[in-house]
Amino acid sequence: MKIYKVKVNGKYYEVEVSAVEQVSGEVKLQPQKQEEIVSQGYNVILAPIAGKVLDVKVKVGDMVKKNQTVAIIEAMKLENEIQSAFDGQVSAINIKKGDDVRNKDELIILK
Amino acid sequence: MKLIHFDVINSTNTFLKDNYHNYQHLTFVSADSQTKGKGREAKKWLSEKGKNLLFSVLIKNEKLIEKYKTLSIVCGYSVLEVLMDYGLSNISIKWPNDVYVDDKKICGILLEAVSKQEIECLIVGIGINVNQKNFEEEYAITPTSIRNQLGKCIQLDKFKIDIYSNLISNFKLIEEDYDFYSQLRKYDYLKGREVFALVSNEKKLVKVLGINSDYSLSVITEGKKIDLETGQISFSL
Repeated sequence: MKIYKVKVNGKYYEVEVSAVEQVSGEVKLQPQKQEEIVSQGYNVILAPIAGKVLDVKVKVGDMVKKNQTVAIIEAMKLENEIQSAFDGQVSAINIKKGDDVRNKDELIILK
Repeated sequence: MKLIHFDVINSTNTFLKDNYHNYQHLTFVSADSQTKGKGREAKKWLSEKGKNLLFSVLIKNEKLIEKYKTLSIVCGYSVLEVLMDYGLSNISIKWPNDVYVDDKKICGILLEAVSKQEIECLIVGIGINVNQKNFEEEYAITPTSIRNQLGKCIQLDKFKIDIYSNLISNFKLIEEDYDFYSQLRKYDYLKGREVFALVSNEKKLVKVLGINSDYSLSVITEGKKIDLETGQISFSL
């Protein structure tokens, strides 16, 4: 075990470092859970039914008003207009025309 | 129940979609003529003024919304029942809810919903060819009408009330979990036919086994049995 003095942001710390075997590895980004996304000030528009995406009415960067239609999902000849429950700016779109979606899938994220 | 009638409007479905928050459950909106009548995926619904029954009904009942698959096909079945009362025969339901007489389409139904995080309402749009004799446009499926089937015109106002009444009765039965499946499966137009269907976004030839009890469509394609819930069905040549 060796002790080093390490300067971080102008402040010195004593750090103990042990020799370890070098191993290869990778860091995989875990998709953020919906609760984490919402707690960071984002709003998530969910699929209210399973179906096929007929149309996506917005693109990333668009400003969206509450009640604005953002997508249409079809199932069993039910065409479902998905309206935003929030004002916001489109931060991410997880769907495209022709995709199959499940109930509660995250469609569009607003910030 | 509330009844609204327009001489002419863009679309009865669009009217209810734009104004659903102002109207109650079972508001019926009809019109003699539509300037932008529509079918599925923005297709047009064309109709001669004053000759046919064009209307939409607003559904705000939670249980009916939850059972939208049943509601969809039972709307077709409700029309079928009234057509039988009027003396038409060889009527069937082409999955998921169109009504056919022989191989001709007599009724189209479009369900639309408005959702925020949940479905807030359903709008059922129904177009029934009643007294129109000639269909001038080009159609993918040959249309027919009650007039063409019976050889005579019928009273449109009385027919409208009969259709509305039967829909309301059957909606009540849906809420009471009535078993429609055992009845309507007898009128399955596609059963046993070979048709083209979109399966995972690919057009494939399928053999239709029939409507399932959950109202999906059971088909066989490439040796596998699958259940369809979405997508267009077109006929093989």
